[in-house]
Amino acid sequence: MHQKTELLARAYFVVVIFSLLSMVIAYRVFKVSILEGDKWRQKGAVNVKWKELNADRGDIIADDGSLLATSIQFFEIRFDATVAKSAYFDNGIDSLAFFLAASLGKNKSKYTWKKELQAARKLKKRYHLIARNLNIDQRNLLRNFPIFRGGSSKGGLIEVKFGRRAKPFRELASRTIGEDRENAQKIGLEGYFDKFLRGPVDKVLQKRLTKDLWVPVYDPSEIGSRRGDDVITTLNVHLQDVVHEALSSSILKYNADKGVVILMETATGKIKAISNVTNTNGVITERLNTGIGERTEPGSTFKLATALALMETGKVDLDTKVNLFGGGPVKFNDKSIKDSEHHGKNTVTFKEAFAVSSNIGMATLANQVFNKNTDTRLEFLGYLKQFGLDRVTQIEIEGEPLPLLKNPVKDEKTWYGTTIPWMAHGYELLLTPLQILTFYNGVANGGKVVKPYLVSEIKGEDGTSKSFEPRVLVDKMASTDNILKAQELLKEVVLTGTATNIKSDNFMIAGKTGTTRVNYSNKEEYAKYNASLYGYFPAENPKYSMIVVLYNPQGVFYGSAVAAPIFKSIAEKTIAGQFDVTKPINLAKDSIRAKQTLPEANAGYADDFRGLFDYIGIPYKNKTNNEWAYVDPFEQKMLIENKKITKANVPDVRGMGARDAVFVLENLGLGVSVQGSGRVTRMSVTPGTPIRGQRIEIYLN
Amino acid sequence: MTNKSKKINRFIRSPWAEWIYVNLPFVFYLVLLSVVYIFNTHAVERSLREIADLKKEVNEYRYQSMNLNQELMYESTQSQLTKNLQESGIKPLNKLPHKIKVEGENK
Repeated sequence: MHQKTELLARAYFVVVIFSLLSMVIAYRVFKVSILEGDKWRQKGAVNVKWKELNADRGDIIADDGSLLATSIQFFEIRFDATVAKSAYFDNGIDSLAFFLAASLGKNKSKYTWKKELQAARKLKKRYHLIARNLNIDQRNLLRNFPIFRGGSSKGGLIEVKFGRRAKPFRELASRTIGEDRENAQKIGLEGYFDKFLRGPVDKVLQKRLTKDLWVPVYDPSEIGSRRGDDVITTLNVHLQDVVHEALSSSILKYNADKGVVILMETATGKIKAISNVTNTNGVITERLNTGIGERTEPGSTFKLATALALMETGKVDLDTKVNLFGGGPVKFNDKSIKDSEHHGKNTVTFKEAFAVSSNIGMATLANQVFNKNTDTRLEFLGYLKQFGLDRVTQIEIEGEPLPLLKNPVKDEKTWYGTTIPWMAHGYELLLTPLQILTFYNGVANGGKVVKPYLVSEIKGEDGTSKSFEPRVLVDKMASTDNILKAQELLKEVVLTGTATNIKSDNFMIAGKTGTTRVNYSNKEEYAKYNASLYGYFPAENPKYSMIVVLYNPQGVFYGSAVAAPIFKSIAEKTIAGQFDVTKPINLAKDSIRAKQTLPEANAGYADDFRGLFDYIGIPYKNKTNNEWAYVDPFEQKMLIENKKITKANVPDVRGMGARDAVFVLENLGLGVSVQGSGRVTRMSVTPGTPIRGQRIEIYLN
Repeated sequence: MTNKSKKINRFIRSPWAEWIYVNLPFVFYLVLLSVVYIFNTHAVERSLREIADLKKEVNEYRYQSMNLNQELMYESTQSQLTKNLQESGIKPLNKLPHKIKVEGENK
C-alpha cells in the first residue's frame, strides 16, 4: 500500500512536470510564430532568401565567329561630396577638375568642373552625377584621379554598375540584330530568339555570407550564374560592311529617305548581309525594319512574276509580238499607261519589251490573256500563289506582313477593269522587298523557292546545339523550261535593256530594274519614286541573289541610274572573295603568262636562283657550281651561268640586288655607298679596274 | 578534509564520474569532430568568398578584353581601314583576284 502511493505520487509528479513543460513550449511556439512572427520572419528573410538567378545573356555571332551583340558592363559614376575631408578635397580639387575636363571632354572646362564640384560639396550633395555610360577602361582611368582614388570611404566615389547590350560593329545590321532594352519590347533577333539568349531563370534558396555575397543553401558549388545560348547567324561581317558602306554613301549622294540591301545565298537562302538604312538630315542610322517589315508596290520588278505567269499559260513565249506604241500613253479602260523610259519602239518581241521594262507591253499581254473573265483573273492569282507570292517568308524577325494580292471575287469592291493591267506592271499589290527577293531567288535557283533565314545555329553553354538547315517553301514554282526563259529575260535586261550599266568584265549579272512611282494618286504633291534593282549573280551559275532599293532619291530616280551602280559594286566585292567563281587566267586563250617576258640579266647568289626557280616551278639548267651566277633566259629554260669574280679586278655587279652587290664588293675590300633601290644599273668605277681599296658608288634602279 | 574536497571526492566516486571516465576517449572524439566541423564550415565560407572575389576579377578582365576586342573588330572592317589609310594612299583593290590553275589539280 505504502509503495503504491509513493509510486503514484512519483508518476503524478512526472506528469505534472511534463505537462507544464509542454505548456511552456506551446506558449513559446505561439509567441514566436504568431505574436512576434512578423519580426522574426523579417529577420530571417534578411539572411535567407529565394533569389532569382538570371543567366548571363548569350551572344549573337556572325558566320565567322565575330560578335554582333554581346553583354558588356557599363558604369555610372557619382560623387558623394560629403565624404572627403576638407584638406583632402582642397588639395585634390584642381587636378581632379583638370583630369575630368581632359578625359570626359563634353564641353566642360576644368573651371566648370571645379565650380560644379565645389558647389556640390557646399550643398552637401551625396549623389552628384559625374558621368554616364563609361566602359570599364574609362572607369579604371577615373578611379586613378585625385580624390577619386581614395575610393568610396575616403574620396566619396560611387560606382553604379549595369549590364547593357553592345554591338561591336555599331550600325552594321543593327536593326536586324535588334535591341534588348529595359522597359521596351525586344526587337530583331534579340526579340525573336530571346527565349534562348535569356537562358534559364532559376529560383534558388540562398543565404547571405557577407554584405553582398549570397550562396545557395543546398549546393554552394552552384555559386554564380549560368549563361544563355549563343545565336549564330548567317550574316557575314565583311559583306555586311561592304553592303552598308555602298548603300550609305549612295543614300547620302542622292539624298534618299532610306534604303535597303539584302544579299542572300541562292542555293540555301542564307542571308549574308542585310542593311536597312535611314537618312536623317545626313546622319545614317539603322532603325527601321524596312526590308522585312514594310510593304510597298514593287513596280517594274514585279514584271518577272507577270512574265512567268504569262509563259506558264503557254499563250506567250519569248518571241510573241507586242505593240508598245512608242512608249504610250495607251488607254486601258478609263486610265492610261505610259512607259517610264523613252525607247520609241513599236512592235517588238516579248523579250525586248521586258528588257526595256515596258509597262505597256506587260499590261497589254496580261490584259489579253488574264482579263477576259473572273476565271482567267483567278488563274493569274493562281499562278502568283504557285510562285509563293501570297505567303510570308517566315524570316526570323517579328513584324513581317502578309503580301497583299487582290482577289477578283473576295475583293470585288476594290477590283476594277484596270486591276489586271496595273498588277501586271507591279501596282495595286503590296509586297516587302524580302518577299520579292525570295521569288527572284527561286528563279535563280531553278524554280526551287527556299526560305530566307538568318540563324544557322543555337549553341548552348553545355555544348548542346540546334542547327537550322535550309528549307524549301515551293519545290517547283514553274516548269523548268519557263524558269530558263525567265532567266534569259533577266540576262537580256543587262545585255540590251535598262541595266546595261551593270555589265561586269569578269562575270555576268542578271537582274531587273524598278522605278516605282510612290504617290501617283496624289496629283498635288511632286512625284516620288523608289529606285530598285533585283537580281542575282553570276548569271550562269547563280551564287547570290540581291536587292537594292532606294526610297525617294532626289534628282535622279531611275532604278538603272541609282540602284544599279550599288548593285554592281557590291556584287564585284562579293565575288572577289569567291575563288571558285573567278576563271583561272592561265586557261584563257590569251593567257597572261604567255605575254610575260622572262627577267633579263639578273645576277646574284646562285643558290638563291636555284631555290627560287624550284619554288615557282620554272625549268632551268644549272651550268655552274660557283657561288655567284647570272641568269640567262633561253628558249623554254633559264640558264644559270657562272659569274666571274676575281680578287684582282673590280667585278661587274650590274644586275645584282643591293644585298648581293654590297656583299661582293665589301668582301673584296672596296668601300661601297648605295643610291636608289632595285637592281644595280650603274657603277662609279668601271668593272675590270684593278682593286686598290677605292670607294665605289653603285646606283640602283 | 575541507568541505569542498569532500564534495569532489563524493563526485569522483559517483557512477556519473565513472561513466564519463570510461567514455572519455569518445568525448574527446566528439569535441574534435565538432572542432573539425566548425573549421570546415569556415574554410568553405572563406573559399566561397574567394571564388566570388576571383569571379569578380575575372569578369573585370573579361569586360576589359571584350572592350578592346570589339574596338579591334570594328577597326579592322574594310570601311574603317579604308578611312584610316586614306592619307597613306592605300586603297581597297577594285579588281578581282587573278587565279592560276595548276595542272592536275581540281581547285
